[in-house]
Amino acid sequence: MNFSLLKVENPSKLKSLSRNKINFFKKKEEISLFHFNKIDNDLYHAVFNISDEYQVSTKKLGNQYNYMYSSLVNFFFLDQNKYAFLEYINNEYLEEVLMELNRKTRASISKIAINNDLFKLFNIDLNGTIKKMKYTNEDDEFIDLDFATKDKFLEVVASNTIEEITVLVENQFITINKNGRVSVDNSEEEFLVYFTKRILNAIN
Amino acid sequence: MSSFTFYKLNTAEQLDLFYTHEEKLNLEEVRSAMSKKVATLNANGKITGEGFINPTYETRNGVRVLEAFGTDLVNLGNYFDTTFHNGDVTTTETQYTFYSKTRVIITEDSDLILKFDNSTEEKAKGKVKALIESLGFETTLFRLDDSLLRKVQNEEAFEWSAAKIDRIDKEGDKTTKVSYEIDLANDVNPSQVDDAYREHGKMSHIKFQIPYVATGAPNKITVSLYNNGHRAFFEEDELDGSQVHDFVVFLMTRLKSL
Repeated sequence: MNFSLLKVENPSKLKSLSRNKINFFKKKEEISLFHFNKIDNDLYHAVFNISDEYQVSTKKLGNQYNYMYSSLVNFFFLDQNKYAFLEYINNEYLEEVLMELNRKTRASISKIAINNDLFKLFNIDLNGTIKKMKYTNEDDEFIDLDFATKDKFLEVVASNTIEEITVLVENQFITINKNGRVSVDNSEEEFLVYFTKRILNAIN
Repeated sequence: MSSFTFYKLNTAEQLDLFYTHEEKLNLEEVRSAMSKKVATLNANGKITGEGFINPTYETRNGVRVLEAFGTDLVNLGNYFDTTFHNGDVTTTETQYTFYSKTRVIITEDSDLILKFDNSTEEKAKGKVKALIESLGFETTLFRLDDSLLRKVQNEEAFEWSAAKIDRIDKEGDKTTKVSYEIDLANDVNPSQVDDAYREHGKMSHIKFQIPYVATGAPNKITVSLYNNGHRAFFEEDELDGSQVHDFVVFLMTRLKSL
């Protein structure tokens, strides 16, 4: 699954999402809360439903057919944690969910970039094998490494801009990108719960 | 980074001599043949001639092997030695040569692995291969060609992460060569470049993860294969203390099984 890392200014406000009753007979809305629950003691999992439609049109006649379709977007957060994970599908859906979150909870939540300090926290916590490290050095050159030891990582982090790292943790690949995108090659619920909780606790 | 090249050995001249009754290569015979071609050394241990050094028996990934160093003269190129004498500048073209080493691994299954620690050592490839052939073998290169690289890309147990495709001739597309890398962690999106070019051209490079079990090593090792020179590469540091030679015998066996 692909995620965007989010910064939460008022984490205590996020739980108020649950006060919005889920309406199964809802009118046609652009975006709605589809599912909300607490899993594994303290991880909150919310799913947003985004209504969209395919439009088929011709050049001369204009819009002819609309096909309804909807997309589900997963959202994970911990109580009192300054960071949260939102599933990344595309930029438009991301912006829409962010607007909805801010409108409903006033948690003041936004997308953030991942800087070297955050990369360091990620990497120390993950403690895996670095399988790819991309960075820009002081001379503005792009450098790609296929493998880096822990010492090499710390040396690079000290004086270069990290663009992206891919880490092998146990059997899973995890890629963290400067633009705040975090990918993991496992979309099973059990793993995602474990993974998001661990990362959010590590960087908080 | 070290590079590896794989060969199959045939005993062309001394058909029976090299085989034990289990159809395995008689490593003792190979070793005694090597002992007739020992590299010469000077008083400081500097290598002064071609030949073999320090053959030892080992068991690598469950296979009995004979390991040695092969040495040969490498020409690193020409330089212009310049002198200034009686007002005249004279330059003399001079060859720079030295004796280089190559790690040689011969398995009881008649496989030969040559390991070069850097690109300078690789210049000795042809000569060291000839040195081994002079023991009474014929060598056949294990080709890392288009069909093998594609088997690697399609192998379910491996996870490929980069490829290069040459000689593309695709209708309605003037692209002739593509080199691409994908994000191993992204299980959501496809690679559109791979979708467009996978079935075209000749694959000349593939990078992939191979599952491996050894103390200290991560459970997946990054390996790169190149058609150019039929070479395999991996980072020895990534094996983190586990034996490089065990891994290379494992890798070769796995590639041959495809």
